[in-house]
Amino acid sequence: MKNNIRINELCFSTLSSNNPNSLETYLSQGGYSTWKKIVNDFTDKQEIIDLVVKSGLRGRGGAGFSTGKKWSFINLESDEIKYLVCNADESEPGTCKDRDILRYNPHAVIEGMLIASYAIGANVSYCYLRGEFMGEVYKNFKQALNEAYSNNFVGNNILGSEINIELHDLIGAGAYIVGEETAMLESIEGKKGFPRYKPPFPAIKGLFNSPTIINNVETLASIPKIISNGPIWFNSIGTKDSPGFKCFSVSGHVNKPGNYEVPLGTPFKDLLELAGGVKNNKKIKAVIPGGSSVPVLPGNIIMNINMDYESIANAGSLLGSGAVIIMDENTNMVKVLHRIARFYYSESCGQCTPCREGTGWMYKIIDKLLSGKGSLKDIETLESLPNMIASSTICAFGDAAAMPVESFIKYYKNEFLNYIKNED
Amino acid sequence: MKIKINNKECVFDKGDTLIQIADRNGIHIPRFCYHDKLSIAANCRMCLIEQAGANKPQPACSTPAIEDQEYFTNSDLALDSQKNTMEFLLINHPLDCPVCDQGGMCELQDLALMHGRVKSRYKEDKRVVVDHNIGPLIKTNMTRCIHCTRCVRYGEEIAGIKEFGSIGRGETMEIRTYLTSAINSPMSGNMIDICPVGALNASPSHMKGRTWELEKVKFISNHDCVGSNMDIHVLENKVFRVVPHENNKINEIWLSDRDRFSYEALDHNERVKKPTAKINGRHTEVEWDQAFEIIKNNLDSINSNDVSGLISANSTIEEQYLFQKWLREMDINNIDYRVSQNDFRYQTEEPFPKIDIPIDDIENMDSILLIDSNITYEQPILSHKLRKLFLKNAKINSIHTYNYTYNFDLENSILINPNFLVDILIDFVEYLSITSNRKFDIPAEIRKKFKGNAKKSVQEIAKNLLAKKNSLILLGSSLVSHPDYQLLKILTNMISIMANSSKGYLVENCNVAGAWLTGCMPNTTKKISKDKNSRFNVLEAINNKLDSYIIYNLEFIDFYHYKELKKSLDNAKFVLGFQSFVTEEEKSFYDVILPLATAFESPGTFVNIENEWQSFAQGCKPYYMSKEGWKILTKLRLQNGASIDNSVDYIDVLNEVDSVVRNQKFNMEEKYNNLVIEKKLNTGSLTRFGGIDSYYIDNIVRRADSLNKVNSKKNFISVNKKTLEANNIDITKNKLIVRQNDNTLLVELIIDENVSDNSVYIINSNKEYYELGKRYQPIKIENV
Repeated sequence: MKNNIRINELCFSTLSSNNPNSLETYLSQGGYSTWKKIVNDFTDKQEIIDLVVKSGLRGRGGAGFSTGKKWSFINLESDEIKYLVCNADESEPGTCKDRDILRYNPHAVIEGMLIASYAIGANVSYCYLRGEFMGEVYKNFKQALNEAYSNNFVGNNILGSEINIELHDLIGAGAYIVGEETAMLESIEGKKGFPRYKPPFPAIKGLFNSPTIINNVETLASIPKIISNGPIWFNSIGTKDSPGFKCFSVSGHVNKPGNYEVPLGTPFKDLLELAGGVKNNKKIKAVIPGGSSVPVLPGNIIMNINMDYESIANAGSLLGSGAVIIMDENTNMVKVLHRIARFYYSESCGQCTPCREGTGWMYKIIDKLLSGKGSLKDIETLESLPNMIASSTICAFGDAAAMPVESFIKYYKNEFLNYIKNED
Repeated sequence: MKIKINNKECVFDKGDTLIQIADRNGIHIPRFCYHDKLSIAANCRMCLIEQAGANKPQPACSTPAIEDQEYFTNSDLALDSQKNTMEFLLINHPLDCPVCDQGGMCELQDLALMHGRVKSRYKEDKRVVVDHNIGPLIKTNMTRCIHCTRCVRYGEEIAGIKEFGSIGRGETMEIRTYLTSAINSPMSGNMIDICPVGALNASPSHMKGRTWELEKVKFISNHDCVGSNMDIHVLENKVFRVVPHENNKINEIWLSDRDRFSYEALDHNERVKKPTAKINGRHTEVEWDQAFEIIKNNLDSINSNDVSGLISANSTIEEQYLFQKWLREMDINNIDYRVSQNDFRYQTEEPFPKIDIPIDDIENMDSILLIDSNITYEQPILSHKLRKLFLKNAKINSIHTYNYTYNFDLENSILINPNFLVDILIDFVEYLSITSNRKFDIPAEIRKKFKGNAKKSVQEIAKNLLAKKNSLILLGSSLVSHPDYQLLKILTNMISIMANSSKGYLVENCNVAGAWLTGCMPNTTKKISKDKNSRFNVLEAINNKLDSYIIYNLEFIDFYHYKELKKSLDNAKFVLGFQSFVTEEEKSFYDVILPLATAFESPGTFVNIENEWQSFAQGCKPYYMSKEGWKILTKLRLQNGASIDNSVDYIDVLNEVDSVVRNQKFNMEEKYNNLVIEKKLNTGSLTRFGGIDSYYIDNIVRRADSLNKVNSKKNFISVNKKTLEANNIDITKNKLIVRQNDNTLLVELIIDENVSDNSVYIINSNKEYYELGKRYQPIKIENV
């Protein structure tokens, strides 16, 4: 175990306390000081946005788009109503970081939402939580929100200023697709969770047809400290293009699965060590580095790369939401893909043709292969489908469903061939 | 601004989407979900094309063009994307076109030919979707649905009644009604047209013929006053189905269900097959010549002043013209078409039944006042125009005797007992005479008689009319039977002049304007005939118990004075009918019945409410021995020795009508001499009111089978709770007895707060309501 890895310093900083989710803990760590200062000074909005741009913070939801750049799409001059939405519909299989941030550090999310709302000029802000968060997560967040309201960090005339920001919490109904930002906007509006076609992008026409910014929980929870410590501090952590900390949800065949917040660019090996190494001292066969929708990487490739956006992209996968799924040498890759394909089959919203029809087709072929009724032609068809689905749908769900299939066959085709009994 | 598509330079305006630009330039882009009358969905992904430099294909329907950009619809990327989408669309779609009703007119079939594979790679089980009954008009086969959501968007955006939606997710997503129920929109049939596949088909013609066997004839709607354009599809000399014919000035690409499905009546068993005459008290089939002879002998023996000719406002203008001409040649001048009218005051100045502005101009209005109009069901096409207005934020106001269901929201509305409709309009006149710059010479009687203190809602509506530049007042068509109809028209006119608005008198029939123009009415200064004598209108003709009645294309229940008519006919010496349909009961009143071709089976012309003359050709041959009206009437005139060429043709008739009627300048100014405003309707008690069910409006739709399955035919009345309590009705029971004079009817009770106080709302949807009594008359309700 390397002791020099900086762990749980940003979003999980409250974990060092016995009562991590309380307001006292958060305040004792300097919480809300950034917000108080902004409210007190009436900090220039553009200044805050510039700080975030300089920090190089990239969206932690999966796509890794520059947060500051996203905010700067908002026209600050216009007097249109603007909205901020916090995407807490964390549903990507393997990912559980937002859940723990909301559980153990909800005030950081709230402070981040307030700063972001202020910076983009939104007076109303929504935190959309996935339906399955109904228990502890929602309870903790709601409690924190009540505390923030009663301390006048949120609401009307915040801390005696003329700033008004309403912050609402919303619970979804459990559809994976609502994690897609425009589907989330539809859902907030009370409609069926169907992604919208773009353009227009949400920053131009979003919630209730008004300019809207949607950020991930981890992104927003990082904001207060980035503002207070400054972009140079943030840049000093991580790599040049991937600065800062990232929460990785390590799961699968490891001894200590869980969330680990480490600097970006940490070698995979070190992350694996933090998670206690592979169970039963087995070898690693494969790792999905960023949630079920990104391409799988064989163990020998990932053992030599660092966990940052570019390194993983160069290796042919994506950092995604930071859900690292580790599979040991005994794993049946066809069964893994079968499970993943079934997930996308049942979660496709059904709006556009390639995804609605294609996810079902892929799942049915894999299912057939597993049952021993498949043929070589089926594998040929299966190989061709990801390409037909990807890039042709309204949202990125099509790509998400296609990438695992493509990569699993690419690296583990033999295992698929083994399931073919009669070769015709 | 310019772009290049397939190296062709195309001009565009900012915001235009690629598919719009391509369509304008004749460049083919395949599509399913895109429809130029509906919002963009971008869900079918069939229109993916290549944008130079972009690594992803772009949907042409939702992508705005970027200046100087190059696009390709026929590059490898574009064609591959389209081919992929087509393969996905077909994997779960049944590939059994030969047994699908849409085969031959299917957009999926057409595009599959261009973009599909020869053989399917899909070997798995196909999706099967359970069908739900959505009513008698649309036959669903949802297994064929490709989820383009055109029908869903149609319901939300065009029909204004959100009935269809997408339920479920992914492959199991279904398009269906949210709750299992029938589609209720009066324009639902359009979903059949916009459905690109065989998922939604017309129920009445389902599985009865193939597209390529049909012949197409253009026709004009004969059930409302707008004159929608439509195409009749004819199979083996029978109307097979009806579809809209695009006319952007009137119905655009839509058609009401009533116009679409009424053709089903054409082979109803009450059609008249052969001429019949009463011989020795029994109706016997006779030859045409024999019938003509009987007619001549009888009419010759009766004083022409003792004959009345009554013609339908649904007949073609050629028939109306020849009818009055035939009669006037015999010096019979008691002619009328206003059979459902009850008020004949000021009839010498009967105003031309029209709307001041062209129908497509309604879309440019910014304020509307409806006067007791159930427009969404009575005039669906006009209602669609109002819905468009509503979506453009125009203000629509209404004064009504029942809170009708509209497919738009009202800004202000006033619910009023039919007894006080005149009073409320006088409130308007009063209020406007104070505020309006344009003064109207209001007779002193008004002020003397009506001391209406304009209510706040009246003021709101009046202010709204005054404030807007383009405003329109529409007088509901069911008011034609109101005892103060003429007065309501005068008041509407006054309000429109003072509020500087346009106005329209909506009517129930398709050719009221034609009947007016051809002078099918007596005692008017605006008619072709130079006859100066006072003649009988329909009411006087009935009341005076004449010797002979000639009834053309009208059923007895079309008459407001239904019972009085029957008594007079019973009393008459000779009753002649020109009829397409006749019931057994009606038959006994007639001495001779001539089988008349319906409008579908005859060439003709209808004049709509904006005075637009629309001619149509013969759709199919007349039923059995029946003949076109113009032929029968010409023959009758020849028999009387009229100087007509023996070889006269339909075109000659049309030309004559054109030169005598169309080219004549009529004085359309509305004048009312010696105006005495006196309200007639004042029952002082519980009043019966309510229009005719929109599928019971004329002799054709009444017999259209599928349409009549849409609404329940049970006898029911609607009364509000306060009225029920005032009449000591036990509201725990759902049945009660209604009584008009000596007639009673057992009906189901609907407690309905949409009814005004002290009135009983009855939708006249079957004969029993007519047997009970008249509209706008006192009625009693009693416990069973």
